[in-house]
Amino acid sequence: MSPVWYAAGAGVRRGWTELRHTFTTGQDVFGYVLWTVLLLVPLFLAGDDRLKGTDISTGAFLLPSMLGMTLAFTGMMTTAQLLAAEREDGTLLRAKAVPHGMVGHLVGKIIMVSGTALASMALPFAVGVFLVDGVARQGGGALLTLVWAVPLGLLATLPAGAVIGSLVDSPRTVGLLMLPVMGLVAISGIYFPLSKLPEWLQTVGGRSSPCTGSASRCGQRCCRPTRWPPRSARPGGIWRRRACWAPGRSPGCSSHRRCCAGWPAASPGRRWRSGTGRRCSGSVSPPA
Amino acid sequence: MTTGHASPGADSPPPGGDTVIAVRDLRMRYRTQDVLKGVGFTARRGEVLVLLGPNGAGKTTTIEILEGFRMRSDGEVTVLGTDPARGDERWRARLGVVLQSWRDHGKWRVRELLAHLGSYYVPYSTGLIRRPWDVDELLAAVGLTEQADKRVGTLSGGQRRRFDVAVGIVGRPELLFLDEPTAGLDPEARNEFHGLVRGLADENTTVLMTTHDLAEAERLAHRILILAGGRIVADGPAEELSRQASADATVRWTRDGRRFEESTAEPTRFVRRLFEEHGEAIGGLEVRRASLEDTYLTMVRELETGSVPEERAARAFGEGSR
Repeated sequence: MSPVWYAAGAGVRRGWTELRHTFTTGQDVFGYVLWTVLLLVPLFLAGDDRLKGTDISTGAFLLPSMLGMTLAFTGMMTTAQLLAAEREDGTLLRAKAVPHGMVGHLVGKIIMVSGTALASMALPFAVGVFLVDGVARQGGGALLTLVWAVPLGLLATLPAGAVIGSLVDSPRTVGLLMLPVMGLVAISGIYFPLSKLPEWLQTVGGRSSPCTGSASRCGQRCCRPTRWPPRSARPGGIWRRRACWAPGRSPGCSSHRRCCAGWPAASPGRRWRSGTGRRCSGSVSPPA
Repeated sequence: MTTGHASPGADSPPPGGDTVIAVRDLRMRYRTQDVLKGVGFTARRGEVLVLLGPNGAGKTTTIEILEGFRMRSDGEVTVLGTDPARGDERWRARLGVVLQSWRDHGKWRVRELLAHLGSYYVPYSTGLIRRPWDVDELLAAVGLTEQADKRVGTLSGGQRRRFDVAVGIVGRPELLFLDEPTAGLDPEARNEFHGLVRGLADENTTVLMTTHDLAEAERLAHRILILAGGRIVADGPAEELSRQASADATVRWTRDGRRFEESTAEPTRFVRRLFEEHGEAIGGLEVRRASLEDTYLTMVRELETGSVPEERAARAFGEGSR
């Protein structure tokens, strides 16, 4: 075996070890549980209320958004935070000091962050299946969607996180970056219809929420197996923030459109716009 | 240093003459500031070199350039026969690096992390050098057997430092860099560490370390390098540096119940004259030669005040000591 592959193997073991560490560290576990609880509270409160103007439950509207947000937060923020922290505490330098240590570090980090993201998504998802009306009725095909959409989401967010992590000078800065992201979450239509916001905030929320947007997009995608962007638009389209946003007409639809708006894909805006009404009805129903 | 016992490092010159580190006219410039202005030295196999110098003199920069972590501005550098700027991973596997103190891998257990980092060296094991070091043997060598299953983050300062050293040598390096390895160690741990370094040198590992502890430098080093003003201003065994330094020896004595003290560059002649003049009246004679610390302080002070041209200092300490 060549030394590079050998180091990659060491990286796989490293990733598993770090996952074991994080899931046996009280503070970390508390973080995952707290995150799940915070996500579930609105889900629980919203319950099975119908979303105004649609025939889906508010819970079914929220759950995929939350999963996508979790994915993007973990993929991007955790990666950025870990990288910034590990540059500061010497982990990266340590990796540089051993032969092919950076290969091992990279492989380990991918496994570690992916595993963390999966666990952070699995918890609310598992609870959501029981809590949210309509989720459990989805078939295996919908589940298969998750199987490819989640890795794709990770593929989109991990490198972005790595870029952020290499640009900021300390983990605390990443913490500060969380604040605007949180703000974007609030106005991106994940938790309540955008049309309830002032006009200008709708614009901001819809146009400039690539992170939360991609999050929710992914979530929406994962849970809605019927509508994919055209193949040609999928890869490499991550940075194309296509303008298929537009202040919504009906509450549910507006945010959905936002969610589609740039996910690796953002298929031509016109197409979504015309399909809006149809898509909204009964479209958001996560798989079981 | 005081006479009576020889420096343990200096009495047995290392066998073999092959050069492990060769540095010539090394220069480093950060923006407009010249940190290194033509550093030059060599290290032979099995030699322990200690790099001394005031804060900000460029010790860490020098070591980082040799480790291949930093690009130099100019000069020729060869480490284990390779230019560090172009060193590949096979070359890296022959180096050991003990970094300045960090807080990384806090969640890992001691044995777990050593085994993991050691595993990267497996492909570089040779018939002559079996890599990596057996983890339990290594833990015993650095005195961490009892802490093997503790999390790295819970180690005390001294244990953490010994662990850093263990990480540095887990790949059985031919050349080991240590940047202030004993900062924060208690005297006992320091003593154990010295034993460890000597053991490595006995096995033909070349060691280059920085420290601010001059007594440590005196005990460990086959050769001491003093880096000041961007140059190596002294290069030689500890006692030779002390002898050649312009630092004065102190002579103390009593005569007629009164205490006297005199600084002199030539204590032997001074004492002879003292006895010629006063004979039996002299009592409580004490001659304290300039320690490495005195030498060091004198040199750095002279360089900083500019009272001695750098070239003269370099000539005084560098030439005669090889």
